[in-house]
Amino acid sequence: MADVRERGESIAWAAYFLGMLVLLTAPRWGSAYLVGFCVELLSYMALVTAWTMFSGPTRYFSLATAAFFGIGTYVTVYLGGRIPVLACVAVAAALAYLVASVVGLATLRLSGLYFVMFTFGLSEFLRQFVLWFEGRLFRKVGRIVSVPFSDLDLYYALWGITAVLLLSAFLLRRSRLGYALRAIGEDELAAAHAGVNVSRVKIGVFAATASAMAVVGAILAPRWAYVLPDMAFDPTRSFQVVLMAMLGGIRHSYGPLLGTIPLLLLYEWLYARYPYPFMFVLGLLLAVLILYAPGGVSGMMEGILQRAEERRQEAMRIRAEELGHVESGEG
Amino acid sequence: MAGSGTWVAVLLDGLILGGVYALIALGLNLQYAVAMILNLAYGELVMLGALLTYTLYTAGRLSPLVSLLAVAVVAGGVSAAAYLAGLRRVFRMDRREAEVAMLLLTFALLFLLQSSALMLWGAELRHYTFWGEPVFLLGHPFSTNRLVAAAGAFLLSGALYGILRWSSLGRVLRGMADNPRAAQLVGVEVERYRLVAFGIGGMLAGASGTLLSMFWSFSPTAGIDVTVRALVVIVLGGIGSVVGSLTAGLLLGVAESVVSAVWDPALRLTVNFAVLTGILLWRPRGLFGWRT
Repeated sequence: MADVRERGESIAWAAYFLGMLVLLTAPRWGSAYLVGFCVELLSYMALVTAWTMFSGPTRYFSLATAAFFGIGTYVTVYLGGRIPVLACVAVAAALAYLVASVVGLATLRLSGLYFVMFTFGLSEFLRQFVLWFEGRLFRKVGRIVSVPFSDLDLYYALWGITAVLLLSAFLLRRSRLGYALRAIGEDELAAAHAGVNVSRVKIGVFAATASAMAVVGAILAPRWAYVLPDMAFDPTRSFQVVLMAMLGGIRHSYGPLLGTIPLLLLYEWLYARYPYPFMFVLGLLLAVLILYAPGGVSGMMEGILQRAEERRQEAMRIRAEELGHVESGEG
Repeated sequence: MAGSGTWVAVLLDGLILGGVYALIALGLNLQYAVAMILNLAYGELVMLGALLTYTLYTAGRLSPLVSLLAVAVVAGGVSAAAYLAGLRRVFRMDRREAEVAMLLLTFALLFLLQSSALMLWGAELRHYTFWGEPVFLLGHPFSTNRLVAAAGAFLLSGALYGILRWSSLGRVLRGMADNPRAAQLVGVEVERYRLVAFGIGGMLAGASGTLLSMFWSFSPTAGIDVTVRALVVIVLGGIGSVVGSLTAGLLLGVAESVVSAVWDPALRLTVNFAVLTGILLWRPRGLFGWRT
């Protein structure tokens, strides 16, 4: 059945790269509303891809997407007027890499529980820390963002980081590093015996994907008129990313992106009008997915394709048998 | 920066706060050590307890000391329902899947409970005044409600310790924490007692919510903060250790109180995180080691 799986993967990845080309041209023909939606789409595509690169194969589920995104946001908020935005992006990436390395050193050598626990608290901690920092040093709660960065530049920068992430995720599947990550997810001890430097791979990939998340936050920051720590470090962002990945299915490299568009559309329609009932429905959806469809949409699709394939082969076998009977009857 | 007299006040304040932290952590520790569920939605139950107490007090004029029991029963009921509706299915998955599924389920529960609370109570900070008169302790004034909350926390922690130490139920629960498979072999209905432990943990969450509400301002979104503190206490004190949780809770309470007095109350969670990172880097098995 491996070919069914592989065919699905090739089709999905081809569709994603085509989709990226369409997204590249969107500012030329799309309405302002559509382009705004595409910005949301690209940013979540980037976050989900970065999250999946580490958490998908290793199954160390990070709940800290919001923390790294927020780090990026605040780097641009503080430095945006003083240095070019691209320099902000570099600083954001470096800072997130550093923070993620410390988190990784403290937790990734222990059981996965500690990692989840720590990442769970990280965005809340950073939110409170920035709140204190702003209040104490600047006597402020929020900040007006005035960074010289045009909407079009922002769009292309965001497209660029998303494209880089998609390409890395695509290449990672068949690389040594990709196999090492999957081996860690299957059995860490076995992976270590097979010669994988388990701690280094885990910490390195976690930190690299964390800097990608910070880059997204840094690029998006000029879009906000006014930033509060509660917005930059909003824990629902971490929740959304996990939910999108689970909806699409994390057993396949192409799965998580499959969950991004439907959830984003749902978010667009419902969140503004009914925020709390919407969160309730999302919580319910996540619970149902974990219990009844842990493979997500891609898992279900593969199941259907596999069953169809099995039925087809079964039918061929029966047909061949019948033919055999007819021939022997005649002979 | 402060005279020796003030230091006594800071220390006592920390012990009061730490008593409540210890109780909060005990419930979470029980849920994890016995029911084997690390409950990321634990703080939401504490918040739910605080909000229920608030409504009963402001709308029904019901004293928090009276509503404590009712709130505990409601929070225990919510926990038991969550266990029966979903969490128990996790134990039928294979081990590698189960750990992630369990954490994500409680993460989903967090958003279910938080959005429910937001629908019912709205997002604003709540506060009520109950027994606000000062009482003098070693010459320093403390509001009565704080002392009552601390006394309640110590009483409940003591009761839990007694139950775990001397009752037959306690023996079963301790046995399950030590070795679930062996407990099953000697005839313990593991499924049922997991439910019991998860429910008792939920009751403790509700009760500590009532105690916290007597001297704190709270909103439905403050649950994550509570969970993080409880997690820090558990990591510090060791999983499955009652004495560890009590000691670590008190230590953390004093540390937070000292930092608030010297620098800034807003740095409390920073202290927690510094302690957590330090412990994980230096002694990942907690200050008092591992019980099981």
